Amino acid sequence: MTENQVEESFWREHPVLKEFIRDQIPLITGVFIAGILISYLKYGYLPGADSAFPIAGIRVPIWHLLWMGLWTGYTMGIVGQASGIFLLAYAMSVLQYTNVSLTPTSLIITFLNPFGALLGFWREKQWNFDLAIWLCIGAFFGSPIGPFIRVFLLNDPVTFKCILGITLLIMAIDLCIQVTPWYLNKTTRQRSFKEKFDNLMKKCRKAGKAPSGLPADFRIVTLERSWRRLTIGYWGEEQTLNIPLMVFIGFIVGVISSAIGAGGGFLLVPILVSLFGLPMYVLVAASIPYVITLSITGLFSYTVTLPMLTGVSAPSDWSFGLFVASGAILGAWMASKTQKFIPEKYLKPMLGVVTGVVGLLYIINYFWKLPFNV
Amino acid sequence: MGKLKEMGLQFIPFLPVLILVAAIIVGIYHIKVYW
Repeated sequence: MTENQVEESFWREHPVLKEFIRDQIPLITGVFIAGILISYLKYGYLPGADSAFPIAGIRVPIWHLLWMGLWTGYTMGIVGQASGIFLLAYAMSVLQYTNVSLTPTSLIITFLNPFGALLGFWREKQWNFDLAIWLCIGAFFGSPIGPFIRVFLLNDPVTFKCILGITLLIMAIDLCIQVTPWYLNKTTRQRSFKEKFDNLMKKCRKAGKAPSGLPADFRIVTLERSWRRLTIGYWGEEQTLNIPLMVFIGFIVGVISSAIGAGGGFLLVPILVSLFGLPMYVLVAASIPYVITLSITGLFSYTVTLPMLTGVSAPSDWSFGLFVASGAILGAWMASKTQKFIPEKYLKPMLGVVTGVVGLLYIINYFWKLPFNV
Repeated sequence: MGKLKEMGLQFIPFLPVLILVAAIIVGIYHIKVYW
């Protein structure tokens, strides 16, 4: 065997390693270096354990930020979401990052978080413009409104924590419902789709391709399109979606998520599953562009529109956000690779209980001051 | 599962729990040092 053939067969045997080196390392390193550069350019020094992040106003070692991104990105990734909600709770309650700039900073992270996955979808050409565009249009008009709510109605940390508590509770209920027989029966179509998918993945692995991507013949095709209805087809299944309803969902989720600083997956995914019964592999084609659109329009509103219209500014801490995002990209990628080995039956209720308890504490603390810090 | 064992990766199903426990420990460390 020549040297080239040996190298080729090595990569064929280790497709995940190949994907990590080709896609993830450049992305993670790039975001991390951008964090260091921005620190020096904007603040003139590298914030961390000794000197506080100027906008966040807290001292925290950089390794802790990478770790926070990694663990929130991983645990949320396992249940199919971006790191936003866990990150907000941890940053507020443990790091004591409680000022308004936390929300736009979190939007930087939810914006960068899905890029690892995005590279994969782009390579596999798994896109359906018609499916994503209506939700994105909703987000485009909805998310610029959120910052005004955050700055004028939710600027008190206790009130903000109460709203975050409600979202944590919604997520906890959703996680617990997902393992009930009722939900599993409802999503039979998803299960049959998953079996079909798993079979193909086995073949994929044998051929030496990374098993997390979608098969070459997988396409989400538009079968029919008008101003009112959209019919999509994927792998022999068909689904009709109501377009005004999609725009409305995108809008409402956009307003709420950009006010909180989350990507919107925590609301969008359960809504789309319960209304349309779409499988996760199809949903991500809509939710990934949605989260990116929501984050960028929300961020723009915090940085430009809000100060321009009201004179009140809520700048984001870019270096804090970029350091966390580089960890979150790695965490989300690790989740996508290991998800199929994790027994969801135990993990989802466990995460659900943890999330629910934190959410409840935040809500209770709003009405009756708790004797300890939350 | 068999394949994971073969590759020495049998800890993967417990990874979320390990990561959550580590997150709690680091969190407590931060509270003790920086609060």
